[in-house]
Amino acid sequence: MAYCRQQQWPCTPEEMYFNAKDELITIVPNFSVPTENATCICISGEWGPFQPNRECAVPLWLAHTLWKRKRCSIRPPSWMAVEHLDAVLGLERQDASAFQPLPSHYIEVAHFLFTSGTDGNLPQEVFGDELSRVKDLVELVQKARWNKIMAGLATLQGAITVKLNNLAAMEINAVRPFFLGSLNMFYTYQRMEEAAIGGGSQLGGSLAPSTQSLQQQPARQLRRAGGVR
Amino acid sequence: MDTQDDAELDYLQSGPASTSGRSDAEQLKSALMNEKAAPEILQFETDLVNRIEATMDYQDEQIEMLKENDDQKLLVEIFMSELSRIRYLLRAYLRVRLQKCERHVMHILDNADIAARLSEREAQYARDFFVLFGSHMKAAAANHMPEAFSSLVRQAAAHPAKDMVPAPDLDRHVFARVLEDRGNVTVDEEGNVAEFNRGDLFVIRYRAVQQLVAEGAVELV
Repeated sequence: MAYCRQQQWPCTPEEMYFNAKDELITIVPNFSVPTENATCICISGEWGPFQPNRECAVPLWLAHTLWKRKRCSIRPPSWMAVEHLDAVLGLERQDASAFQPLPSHYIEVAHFLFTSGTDGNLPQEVFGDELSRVKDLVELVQKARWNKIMAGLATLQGAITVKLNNLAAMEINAVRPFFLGSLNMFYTYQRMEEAAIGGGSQLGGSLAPSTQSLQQQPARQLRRAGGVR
Repeated sequence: MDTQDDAELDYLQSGPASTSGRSDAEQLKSALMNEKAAPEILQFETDLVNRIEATMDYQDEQIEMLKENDDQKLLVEIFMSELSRIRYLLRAYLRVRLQKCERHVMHILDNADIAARLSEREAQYARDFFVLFGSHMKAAAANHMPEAFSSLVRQAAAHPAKDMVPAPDLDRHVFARVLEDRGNVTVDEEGNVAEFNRGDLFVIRYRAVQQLVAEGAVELV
């Protein structure tokens, strides 16, 4: 079972959250680090400079660690401003064929900022009075995009190459099993049709080796590993 | 208005840059995502993994040194949480590759160019696994069947081709993000082309982008 699941869902939602924690966010630290440039040299890069009351950009996991120890305050990211979300929502509703550019982990970042204050008051601190408005807007944007995705999936008719720019990571992951599975099935049927039209009666034949294209077709069609989902 | 929009939308620029500008951790994450999404096993990133292991050891030493100093507790915590993240990425990468080795062990060992993509330890693992797997299958099932049908790789001894070897399905569809402009690229046998510009996201058959993934021009999501 674990094997089947791994094929359909290479990335669990928890892993998506893990990846999203690398997104940069602005913080205002209230401490300083006694190194050369007041920066912190980690494996993934040099973060800082950490000086009291001066903004700097750090990854989300670092911001969370510092916030839990009350060493910084987190600023809302620029794309979560009410005006910007309003504009994006308007454009999403207007343009039915394209997705608006949003950070690729916007859902995870928004979820983190709205919910991980159980031991403190993260959402209240970050957004202040606009909290409920921003929450509503993010949810509306998410819904508008999701409706577009569903409408697009309904028009799938064959094994084609699809171009969808600006799709967010969580949205990709949510449609992955259905989308890729149906395209794979379309392609399998397409190939079977072509073989039936072109190759004659070799499908599901006897065990005797045939003289025609033995390399590509086993004498008896075996169920392919992973072909049955 | 325009310049302000540009500044606000800077996050769009923070996407994958050219490979030379990325940190080791980002490259490892990208290798992990590629490996997870691809149906076949990809080239082992020997240099990257060696560098990461060396950096992790160095970071371990740093933490040990700082621990003795009491007022550096914050730095220690930052280093430790980052270290555990990188360790998780590395383990996941190695684990996914081992899973693929196990799934397609006979196919990998039969093809020298695919076997060349494994690291030394993975190749040893594949050989050992094959021996164990093969002997178990023989003892449990194949030896109880008539001589002509007891092979693990052929349906019947009369068949010249090894038709029971599970091979990776290269025609599975994948989500692919383009990292470099590549102009028009042929995407299927009929000769249809699509334009690959940086930042595009495609749903496409793996076989069509196999070469581009190997070159690093396209990453799988």
